[in-house]
Amino acid sequence: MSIYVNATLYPDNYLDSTLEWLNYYAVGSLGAIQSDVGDYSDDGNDGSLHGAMYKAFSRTTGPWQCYPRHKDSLTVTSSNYGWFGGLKTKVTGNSKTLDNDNAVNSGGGLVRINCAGHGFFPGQEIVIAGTVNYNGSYTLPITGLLNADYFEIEADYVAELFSGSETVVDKIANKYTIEAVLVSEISHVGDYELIIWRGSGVYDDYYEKARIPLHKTATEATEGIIPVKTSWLITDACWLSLLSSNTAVNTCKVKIIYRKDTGTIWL
Amino acid sequence: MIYVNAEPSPLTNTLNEMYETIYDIDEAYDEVTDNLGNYYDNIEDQSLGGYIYEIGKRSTGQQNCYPKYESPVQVTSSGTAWWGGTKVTIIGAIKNLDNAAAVNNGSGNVRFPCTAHGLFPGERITISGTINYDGTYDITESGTINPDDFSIQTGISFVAETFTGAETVYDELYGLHVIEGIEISEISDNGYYELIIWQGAIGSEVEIARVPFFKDATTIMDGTIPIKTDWLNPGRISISLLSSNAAANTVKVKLIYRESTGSGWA
Repeated sequence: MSIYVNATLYPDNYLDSTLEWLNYYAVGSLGAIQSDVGDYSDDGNDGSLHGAMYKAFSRTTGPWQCYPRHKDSLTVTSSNYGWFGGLKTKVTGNSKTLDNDNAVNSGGGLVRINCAGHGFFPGQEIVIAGTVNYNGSYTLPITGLLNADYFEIEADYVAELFSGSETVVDKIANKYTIEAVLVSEISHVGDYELIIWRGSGVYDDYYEKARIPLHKTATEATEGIIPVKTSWLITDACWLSLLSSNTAVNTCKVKIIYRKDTGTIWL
Repeated sequence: MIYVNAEPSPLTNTLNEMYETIYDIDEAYDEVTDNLGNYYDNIEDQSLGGYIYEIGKRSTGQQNCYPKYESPVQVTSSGTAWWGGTKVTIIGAIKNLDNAAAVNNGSGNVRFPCTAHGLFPGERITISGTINYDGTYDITESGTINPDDFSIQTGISFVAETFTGAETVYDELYGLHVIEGIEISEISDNGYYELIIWQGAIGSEVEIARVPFFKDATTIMDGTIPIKTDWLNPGRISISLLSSNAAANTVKVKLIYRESTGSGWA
């Protein structure tokens, strides 16, 4: 049994329109707010406030790394005009060619690659190119064998004899921000500007990302670690150039110190 | 006019639908307010308020060095240019307990004899090699502490034990923390260096930071160098050294870290 009110007092069409309003505006609007707010499981790809907060905070930390690593600094050279130009030097990591030798099946999903004096280390990300079967990015496993003349990668074994022209390069992070530069061996007394560029290597496709003043006098020089800040940069697109107050070719040596976007925050 | 009907009227259906809609709105409202949170939330509440609290909590915090109350740790490169180097565990100051007896302070509070221990209230220590008291403890403000002995709340009833003098106590790096600098001294030779900081047990270390520095005829990069790691849980920290020289070079190192103190906005 139910009791209800005469429709003449509360016409259905009035209630129906109220229900429609509730559904359209109240439920719809609240749903949009729900989506905008998001929840704790969101990351930067969800387009929500929670995701944005996660992304912002994930980028406040992250391990410092230098580049190139396991090798000497890069030499950057000014032009021989005062305060003008200077060739751009690409910031590249340790790069080697594979030995003219076979890939070796180490078992357990590991393949041994012979590469004399490679300088790579466990946990490092490398990029192999020019092979038939092993091109790609690999993180050298901590448990893999590693000595000065070979390393192991996690891959399905396929027999291949490398010619010796295949390359392996120490890969910088996919997304990183430069936090400092290590400057050394400023060649001459004078004032300098070191410029950091993001660029593809194609003419006219360079964007200045930071500029750092340096100097050297008879008694002191701005050598050491110099703090700097850039926006977020992407892999394989960082260049350096040097300006000098001298009308002569000057040089200095540089390593960049970067922090990668690891995405880990809370622990 | 009011009347009775055995079947639900169209109006009842509409009201039921309206009730369900309002119920849905209420559920959605609860979810939104839960995810927004409020001023009192912390990270456990998984709300935006909790996020902001946690960010605030981690934006400050007490800086500390490690190891403390003792000299820096020496690390040595491999002798091959830009290659390897033995990982050296960074561990807090290690002391031996005295060859003396534990003293019962009552209520589970035990006094340990340890001449010139250098520990202080607020530190976390690990005691090893005893029969009854091995474990990790916090030295509390309420614990009585003297230069040659310290007291801790053991959580167990007192058990008489005379220590042999071989038992050890060391201060631990603990709590959620981030390493923000290294103090470098006594760079042995001219050359370029990379100091690598690792976290993890022996054989499963993960690199958490790498710092380049150099020494030449005019510049010695001794001093504090800023770095940054991710936030770290307590665990073994080790360091290794690479050098541009084909010789075994050395430097001395202390870590500078900051704890997530939990003080929020206060």
